[in-house]
Amino acid sequence: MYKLEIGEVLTRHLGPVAAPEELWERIENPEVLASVPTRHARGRALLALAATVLFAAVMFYPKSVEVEYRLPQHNLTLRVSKSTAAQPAEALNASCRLCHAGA
Amino acid sequence: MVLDANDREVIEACQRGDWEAFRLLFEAHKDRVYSIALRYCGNESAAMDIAQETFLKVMSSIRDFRGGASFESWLYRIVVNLCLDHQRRGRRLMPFLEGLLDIVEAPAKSVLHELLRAEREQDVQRIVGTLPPEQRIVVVLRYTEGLAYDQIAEILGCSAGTVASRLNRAHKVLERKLAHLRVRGGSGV
Repeated sequence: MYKLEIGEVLTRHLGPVAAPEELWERIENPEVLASVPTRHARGRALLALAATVLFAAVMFYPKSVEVEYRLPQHNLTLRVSKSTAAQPAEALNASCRLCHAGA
Repeated sequence: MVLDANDREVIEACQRGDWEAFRLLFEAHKDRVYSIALRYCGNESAAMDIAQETFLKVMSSIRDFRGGASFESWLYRIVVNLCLDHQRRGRRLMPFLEGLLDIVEAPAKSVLHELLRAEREQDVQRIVGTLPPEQRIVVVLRYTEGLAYDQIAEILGCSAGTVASRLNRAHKVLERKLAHLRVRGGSGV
């Protein structure tokens, strides 16, 4: 009884449908329609665009984080960025001596 | 599913490259091919792609068709294989993207009453779409085309027992997921 009901539901909602008229045009002119992107091709294009945007965001996102030290008693401002921090320790030490020279 | 004399003549004309005969063949089978593709994919654009590809393949390989076999079974095999290929090609992300494109490109005709009318059908279609491909194609051939187990078995190249088993498993899943659409007190959905 129940399987019959499921069968009825499926028969009712999965019945045959009429093919769109433009199907014949697509078969008659496949070379013309080849230039029109299919849904699948447009999906791939969308995927490629999303990948490009993600790549650009990763590449151009600012990698350095600036930390600004204000030392009013020396009238100095020292900015240390992440990229500076990645430099050899001597370069960073040289910067630090600007602040700590008089200390 | 045996060809009658007229169908044989049409197919023989197609094999000789008669374009008008191919048009006749197309008109006779277009709804069947499109319906299987649509019910399998649940996506009109993908169904159009599959139907187009099916008829182009029929056109290019009809010379290989042997008159002794059933033309419908041969045609069904082509569309079924293209449906399964389509499934394999766009396994996970593409259906999502294609669905997104459907929403973006929703035509003006999709007014409220049209949506309401189609809502239940889409619901069933969506749930059928969650079945594994080998079960889904059996459901589509059974309920969209109304084919018998042995006909489905011939198309899929398996035994009728396998068809029955797949259909039985599909029924169990669908019984659970479509419980809200069950026929109640004789009033259908």
